[in-house]
Amino acid sequence: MKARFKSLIYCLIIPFLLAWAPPVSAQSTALSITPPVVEILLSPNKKIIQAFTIKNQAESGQFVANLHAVMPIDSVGHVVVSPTPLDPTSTPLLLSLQNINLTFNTPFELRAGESQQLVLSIAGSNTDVPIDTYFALVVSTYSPTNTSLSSTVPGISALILITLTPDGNLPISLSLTDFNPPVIHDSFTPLALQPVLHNQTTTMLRPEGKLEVISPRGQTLVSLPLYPNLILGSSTRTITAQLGEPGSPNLRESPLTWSPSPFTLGPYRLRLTISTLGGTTISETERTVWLLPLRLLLFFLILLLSFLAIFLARRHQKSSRPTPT
Amino acid sequence: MHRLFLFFLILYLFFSPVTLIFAETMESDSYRLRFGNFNMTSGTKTSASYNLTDTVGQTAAGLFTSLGYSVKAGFQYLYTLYDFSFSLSSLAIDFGPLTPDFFQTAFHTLTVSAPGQGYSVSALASSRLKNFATSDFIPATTCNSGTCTATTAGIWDDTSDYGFGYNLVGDDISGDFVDDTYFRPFADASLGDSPAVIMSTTAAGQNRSATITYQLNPSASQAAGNYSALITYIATPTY
Repeated sequence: MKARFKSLIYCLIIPFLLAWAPPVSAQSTALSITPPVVEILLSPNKKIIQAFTIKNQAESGQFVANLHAVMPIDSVGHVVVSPTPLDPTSTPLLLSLQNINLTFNTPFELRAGESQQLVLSIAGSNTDVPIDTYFALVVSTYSPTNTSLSSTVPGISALILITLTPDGNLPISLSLTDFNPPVIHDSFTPLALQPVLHNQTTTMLRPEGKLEVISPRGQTLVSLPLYPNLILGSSTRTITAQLGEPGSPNLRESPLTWSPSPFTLGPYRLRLTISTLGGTTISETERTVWLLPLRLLLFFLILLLSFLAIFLARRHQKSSRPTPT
Repeated sequence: MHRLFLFFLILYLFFSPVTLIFAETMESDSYRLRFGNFNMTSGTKTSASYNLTDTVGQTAAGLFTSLGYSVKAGFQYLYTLYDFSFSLSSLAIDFGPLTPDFFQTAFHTLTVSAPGQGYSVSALASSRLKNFATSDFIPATTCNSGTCTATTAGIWDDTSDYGFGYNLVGDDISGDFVDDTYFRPFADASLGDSPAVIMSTTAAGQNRSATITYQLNPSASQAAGNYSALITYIATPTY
């Protein structure tokens, strides 16, 4: 009787508890970080403080902050973050968090919609030569390593690019590659160029420049300003054009393309000038491209061949017609 | 009469409620006003073909520069501003009980907003799917007849090829994910692999999203047990 009563109680209580259980949903993560990229020029034995704001745009959770080394992986400004945290002794900098209650690699709580400021102190060590250090502040969800379930660890990073220089004089050594326009180009199609600048120094540079198109008469037809992209030390960057006025909200970069007039004819010179932000010319390279209305010529050639074929066919018909006897 | 008018005017000005007005960010649970301020007219005007934002009457708007500094003053600059953000729809990957020689799948959505010059998202697994009690593991997929690597996707629709891999469909995904039959194995940190870039662009954009499909196909000889791995995704801005 007792056992039956117990079973009855369980049968009644369990569905009741299940009905009142809070709904369980897969936890999501959404983080934002600002500023996303920081460039710093630092003197030896000087210290700066940089604050980063992390905002949790999803559910409450635990997060960790770490510094990781980054390496450029292509010529369009992407980097890959090292999977292991940065070894502080590997950099000429003294890096620490100034927050009283936060340290690197220690989980901290961030409620839904809340922000947390991470205050990073960066001090430069003594050096006689300019040295660059590139790393990222990575904030990711805290995940215990002993979990038996497969899980994901989303993280967001802010890039910190630092040049440590004793006197502010930075070496400049750039080489230009892939500036090879075709010898002959159809004037009906845009001429797309993808020259690449290689920074041969170990410090980052932000060169400016312009692409000029010079007519056979020596007139400058077009002058396209180049987008002042940053080139990290010992890396490459594809040159792009700048659309919009410098400093304007609508400033954008676009592929380096020139659309000639369809009936442009002759040898045109493409002059690529690379200069420093101060305006000093670093290099000036010229290439010549012959512009011909190839599509128009092809059209007329096909037309001519068609007329010739019709003419020959008629002539053949005439010659093969039987002569009256 | 004139004096009386002046008296009342002074009286009015003296007793009228005066408060300080700041151009600052004001927030509530539902709204966010950035640098609230008085002006003649402002806002977003739209038609079928155009979208115009304007601010008329604001003082000292524009770009101010000197050697080493540039100040972008004015509300029109705000339209370019949004934070660099990254979201993942779920933190758990649960395939449930597995059936040999059968593809099991799970999904997540990755979403990135990146101002400036774009972003990249990289992925890295802590190890292969591993049973931590026995050290058995489910291999990473090599797709149909070994056609894929951690950086190059290949077609994986043959159930006689076993393993664990992922596919991506959506915005800014790597070009080797031609369609939803193309898979890659995860780059493996325990083998010394570098993180593999799975989404990237050089253009600014908001709410760029991609769906990642995890696919698992264990062989009949796979030892029973709990298998797990930690997949790390890092969103990085373009410099």
